[in-house]
Amino acid sequence: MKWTLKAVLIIISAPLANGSKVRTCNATKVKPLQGEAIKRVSIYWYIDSLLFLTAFITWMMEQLLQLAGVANPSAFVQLINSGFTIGANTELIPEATDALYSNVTVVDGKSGDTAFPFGKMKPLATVGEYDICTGTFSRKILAQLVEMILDDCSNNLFPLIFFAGDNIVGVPDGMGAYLLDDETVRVVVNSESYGPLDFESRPYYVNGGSVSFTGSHIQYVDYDRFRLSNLMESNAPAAKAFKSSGSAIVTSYNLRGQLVGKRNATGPTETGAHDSNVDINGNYVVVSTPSKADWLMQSLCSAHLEIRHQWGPGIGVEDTLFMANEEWIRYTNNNDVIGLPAHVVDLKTKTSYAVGAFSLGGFEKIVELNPQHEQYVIFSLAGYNGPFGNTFPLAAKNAMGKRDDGTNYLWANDIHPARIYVGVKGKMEDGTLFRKKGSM
Amino acid sequence: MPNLYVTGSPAPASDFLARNGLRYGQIYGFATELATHRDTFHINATNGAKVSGKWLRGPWRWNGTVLPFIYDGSWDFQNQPVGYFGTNYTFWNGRGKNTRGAKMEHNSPGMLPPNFIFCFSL
Repeated sequence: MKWTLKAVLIIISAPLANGSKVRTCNATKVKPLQGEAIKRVSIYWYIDSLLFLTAFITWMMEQLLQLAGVANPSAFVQLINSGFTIGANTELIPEATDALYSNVTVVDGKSGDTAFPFGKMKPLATVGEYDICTGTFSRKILAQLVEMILDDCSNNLFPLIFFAGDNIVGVPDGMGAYLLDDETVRVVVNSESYGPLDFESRPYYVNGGSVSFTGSHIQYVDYDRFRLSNLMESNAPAAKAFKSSGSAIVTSYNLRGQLVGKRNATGPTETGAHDSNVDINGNYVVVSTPSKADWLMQSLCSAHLEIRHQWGPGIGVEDTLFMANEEWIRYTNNNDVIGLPAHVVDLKTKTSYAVGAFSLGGFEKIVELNPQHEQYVIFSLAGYNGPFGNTFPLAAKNAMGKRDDGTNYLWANDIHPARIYVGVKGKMEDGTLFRKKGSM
Repeated sequence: MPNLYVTGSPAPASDFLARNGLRYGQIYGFATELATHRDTFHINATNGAKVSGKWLRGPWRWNGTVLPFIYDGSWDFQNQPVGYFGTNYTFWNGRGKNTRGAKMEHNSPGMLPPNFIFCFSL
């Protein structure tokens, strides 16, 4: 059996000779290869080609996995065959008309009526699809596979399949696209996910990998600009244009400007708390607790991409940023909850900052308006003003004082006008000029 | 010149939030003397309908200090705008200050001049 496996590897490696240049999965760079590296990259190259599986390759893959000691190779291949690589799915969720009124037969997993009146559609990415090229999924799976094959290791792959992987997390609710460079279009998308308030999404890790969030993600997918521009000219899946993907948040700061830290499971988190999850003393106050993460990034809604100076030279935000906002939450009965901030992501550094300047009542969407002035920014704020569940500190509010007509405050949720925020560029909260430490 | 203070002194470059105007600012709410509440108005409004009013503020402004929500600016719209107490100006809430209004969902900027305005869908 092992000799058969070696023979297969030789066939796979055959197209490559010493010094060959191989376009690896996660980059357009080419690297000269030597010796053992050729065998390994050849296997990667082979696995990568499985994005476009044929029945023959499927069979081959199953044989390889079986030889490698995998208990159920057909299940693994079925997982790949299900179209879970980013951009592989070509079936549409949107329909040109409701299935009740269409003559198109409804088939589970297939497009419905696609006779759209204003043009064709094609999925760029679908929730649940994996980044088989650059994600931890591919690295761990393929590295393990290579090791098993070359070193006759008999470890089982399946624990890795289920515990590793960079997939697209849903539900998408807010996205934008911009040119990352001359050859790459970056699509940024956030998910409206509710973590332990509904179903927990896989965690993502920030601040050196030690701190984790479940709930809503902000992710990016990079596409080859040229291939994307021609995508609608053929039946090819968007996977043809796919280049890379990942989390748009690597570093995360809370409202106090602290790096978000691990949650204290036995008491208040006194430093680095994710403020929407805690009261003023750092006690966790969400009605349910993440089982596999420190914090809940709750229901990021209708995020919006703002391009630097989108309104003209010098006019508008100074950095290309992604404006997301926690929308609603469910708190335990507590008078000292803090509320829901916006989270603005510096896309260049993949850093998320909690923003208090819009107030803390939770928002559906925050978008930039044209300030028509270089020194200011203007944002339009929509929703909600306090959707915190059935328990809220109304009595505590009224104990502080009545309304200006002498009556009690009502809970603030959905009692608000259309709002705008006008910000001054380059100033700290007290209006003073920001200075670096030591510059005074 | 971009990114200057009102005094004309150079702005710092290192603070992301300050650089983008997200530390120092003010929230304004649309206020009007119109007696009809916003939700009621929109049900019967026709395209091009206008409401006279002003963008006015409440007393709250973010000062960088994290406090409980009972101190937040979200409550300001149940009072009259700063400087307009005793006038007919009130914040144009969905259904006034004693009843929850419709959810305010998706807003969008007008991208083409001269329509640098925005619209809301309820």
